[in-house]
Amino acid sequence: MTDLAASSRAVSGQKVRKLQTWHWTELFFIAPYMVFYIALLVYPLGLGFVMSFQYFDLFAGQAEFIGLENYQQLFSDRIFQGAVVNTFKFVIFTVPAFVIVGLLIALALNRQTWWAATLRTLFFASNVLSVTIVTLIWRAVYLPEKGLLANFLGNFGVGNLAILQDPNWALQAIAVTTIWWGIGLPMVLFLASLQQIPADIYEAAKLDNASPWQTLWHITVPSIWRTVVLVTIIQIIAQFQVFGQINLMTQGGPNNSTRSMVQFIYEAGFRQWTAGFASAAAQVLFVIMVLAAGLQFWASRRKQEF
Amino acid sequence: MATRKMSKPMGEQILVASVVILAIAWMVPLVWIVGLSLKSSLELVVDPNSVFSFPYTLKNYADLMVTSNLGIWLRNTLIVTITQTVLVVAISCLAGYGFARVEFPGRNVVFILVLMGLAIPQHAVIVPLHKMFNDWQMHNTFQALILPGLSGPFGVFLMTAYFRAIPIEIEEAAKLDNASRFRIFWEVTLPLAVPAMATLGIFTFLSAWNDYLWPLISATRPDMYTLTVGLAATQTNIDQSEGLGYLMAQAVFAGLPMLILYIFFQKYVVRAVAGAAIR
Amino acid sequence: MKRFKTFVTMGALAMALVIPSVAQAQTEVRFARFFGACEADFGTNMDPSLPSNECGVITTLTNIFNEQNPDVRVVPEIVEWGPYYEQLAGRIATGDVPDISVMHGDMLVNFVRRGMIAPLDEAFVEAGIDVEDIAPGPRNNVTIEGTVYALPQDFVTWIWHTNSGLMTQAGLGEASAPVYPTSGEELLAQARQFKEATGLPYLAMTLDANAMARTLYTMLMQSGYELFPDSTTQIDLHSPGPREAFDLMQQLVDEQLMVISPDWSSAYTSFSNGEFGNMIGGTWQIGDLVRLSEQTGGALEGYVAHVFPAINGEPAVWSSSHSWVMLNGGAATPEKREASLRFMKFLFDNNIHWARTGHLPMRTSLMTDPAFTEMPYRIGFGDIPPIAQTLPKDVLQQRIIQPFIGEELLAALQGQKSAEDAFAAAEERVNTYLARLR
Repeated sequence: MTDLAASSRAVSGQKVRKLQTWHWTELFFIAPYMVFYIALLVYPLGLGFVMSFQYFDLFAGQAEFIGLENYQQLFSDRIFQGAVVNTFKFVIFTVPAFVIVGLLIALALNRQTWWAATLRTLFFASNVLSVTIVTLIWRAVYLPEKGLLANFLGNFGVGNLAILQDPNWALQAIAVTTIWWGIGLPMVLFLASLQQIPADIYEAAKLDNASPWQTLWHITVPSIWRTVVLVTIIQIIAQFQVFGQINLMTQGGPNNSTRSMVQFIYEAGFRQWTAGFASAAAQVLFVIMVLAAGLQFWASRRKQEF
Repeated sequence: MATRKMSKPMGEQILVASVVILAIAWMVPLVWIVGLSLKSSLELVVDPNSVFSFPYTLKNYADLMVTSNLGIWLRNTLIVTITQTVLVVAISCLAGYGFARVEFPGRNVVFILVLMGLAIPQHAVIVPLHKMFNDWQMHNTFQALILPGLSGPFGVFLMTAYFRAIPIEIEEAAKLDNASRFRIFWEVTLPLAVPAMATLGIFTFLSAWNDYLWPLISATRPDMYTLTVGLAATQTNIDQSEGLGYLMAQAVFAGLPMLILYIFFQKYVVRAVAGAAIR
Repeated sequence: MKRFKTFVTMGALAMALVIPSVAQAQTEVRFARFFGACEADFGTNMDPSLPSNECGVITTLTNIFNEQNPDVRVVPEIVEWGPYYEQLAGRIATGDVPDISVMHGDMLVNFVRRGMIAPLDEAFVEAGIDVEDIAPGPRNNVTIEGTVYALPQDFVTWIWHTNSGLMTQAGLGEASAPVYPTSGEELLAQARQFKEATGLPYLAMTLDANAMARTLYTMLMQSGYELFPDSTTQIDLHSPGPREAFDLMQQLVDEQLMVISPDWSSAYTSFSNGEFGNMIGGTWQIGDLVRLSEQTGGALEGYVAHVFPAINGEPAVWSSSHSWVMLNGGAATPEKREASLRFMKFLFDNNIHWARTGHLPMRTSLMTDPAFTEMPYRIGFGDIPPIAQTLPKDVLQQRIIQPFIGEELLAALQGQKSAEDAFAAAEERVNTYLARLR
């Protein structure tokens, strides 16, 4: 994500001999973008904030100021509470898996052979598919009786498997789908990072008779630690906003066990037509995201102190 | 680059073997849906295990040609994605150059404000955006699908950093010829930024092609559906819709363009996505 | 490079402008509906007796109308069931209104109170539709405060799909004429008898929140229970009635007389493989199951459909209607209006074909017409109209609150939470949501 400190330094720091004058027409360079930025990003952000204090019917258009009522209802809403918990759970299920599995694949495939290249291609391929295709694929995998999983486990005598209908396992099943979909990115980032470790360090370790485990733990991991942090933060931010998989695979069920915060916002706004209420939920999510972005900023500053 | 070891230690062999097995498992879902797409839907209802046995049929794909609106969805997605990509690259280059070179007062402040926009997730603005386009009566248009994508700061950030890194001496030389700022930009600087433009273009193309949430609520008329929305709509009743086999054929068909593009342009796609993430 | 960029941009924008269709010589009627797309099978079909599913019938009827009326072209805009209402409302709000749209009866009030639907009393007279022939039930479904807002298409209701072969085997009736319980005790007795004789569950419920809710509604209507005793924004699920109805179902599950299918796909599979005696479902499924039984034979021989038996009191059953509305802003020109009404009259006249899907026709004259009464696979459908009921008309957003109730109760039925918690949670969710609406 953003590295605010570094980039602002980049903008202001260059004090070389600059072109002395600028003409006001040159503002037209940034004008097109600024129009879209303000009209379609900044303004809606403010509007959403205002809407969160209103009763706003999505289609009748009338808006009524109701103060904090949306927020009061939100925080006492059992379903919303469940959605927050589910979202945190989902992040916990997916992010460590992304890091660990991504790293392991990168370690295994960090070589110049043709088969390693083929497998790298394979693992990244799912990344280019849209969420609707991915969910079609995995619904076909998870279908009760007819699905791949049901057929496979049926050979081992496990019958009646309906994993998306089981409130104890549905979220994990969606997590597996998500990891299948997105493992390509962590893998590629780890590969790039591994390839930046100079070969001589490994040579030196070999000469010292270090075991593979020692090599991994004392050389590889510290060298790629920055990437581990980067992947973690990227995935936390992405998975907090999970929507498509839930919307298409379980719609938040069964028994509110998979409803994510964005799914909640979508339902409240576009299915139940209570757009003010949905805006309030969106503000809460936004605050969480800002905290996460702040965390990334803080973490990236810290890594510069290495 | 990892060193080439003379003998492969046990741990590493286990790791590699596990990853190879994992890769096979990774592929199985894709094979599965191809298998399902080759079976008649009726047969799939009656016999859950029928995928493993003959007969197979191409009827689902034949039906796709007649019934499916894949063509319309594909056309809409192409229009939106190509237009958005072109516009994002153009606007980001302009803005990037402006922030890099034009030293108007308050530039740093404005730039930081733009960067802060990176922290705004799509969902924080989707409800108010929907209201705005409602008021302008602009839903179910290509403009509605394209325009919101132009407000993201990522492209600007990327191009600004890139332009900043281009030594200013190159432009100073041109300035001596009394060229306008825009001419310098157009003829001197921009050609140097092609790699970054390619990265931005690919990244934007991919994310526009796969966008789901905004088209879902904005393109509500069937002939405006994009590929993602169309596929999602036909999925909602997977139990009672045209049939499982047909749906799988649709998924296979819809996923092919991107997969083919990816296989041919793999290096660029990977570089774009990874480069974007690192920023 | 730059020229290429320009070219691409211009090309893309040009494409965007050229997309709108060329002006038609015919009057175009845009017809928004769900029911699926089946061009492959029925795209050119002109024989209405051929299809037996919703998609086939409506596609065929549209084909016939277009052929008989060369100055009109009805263009279907097919949306899937799931997002239909969000999308329709979205289109209306942006002025992009279809000329005729389908709408469930229980959804009407939400559009009417936002002023989105045009009253149709006079329009029907204009179109020559014999309003007196519309049966009271469907008529009621489309009337709000005395004004008719839609043309009903059918009577949709809640039924049991029965494998009469298995029922006969269990001594519960003859071939294609099974016996059904008329009370809770009889239900248990017959279910046990069935299980004893065949070793299979007597009844199946599907893990579908709407199915669960409709089953509860039906049972409560049978016992005369008032779901909304005081006001249409306060549901009462804490009085004894709902709990008693639920306990009956729970008992069936406990004694393994009722099985729960994980989704409709596996329910159909299991039913067609003869894995249970009866399946709880809706009239829209009859067409599919008939086709299945005719094409695969086997265990589905002797398939019959019967109204949901009166296991919780007097005969009564939850019902609804599909209907056709003309939204405000649609059918803007007099030609379009006339053409739309002409199409509606055509559907009215050909209502008997829609009954082949499993839904009941909405015309009183058809209820006693042999063409309907002698339709196979259906038992006692002529008796349904008097006992069909709906929730109070002005309960808002019935399609939203229905899955709230169903989801909670299904969780309880599967033992994931206690029945008290489920009912309390369902009531709270419904009431909180309804209270939020203005």
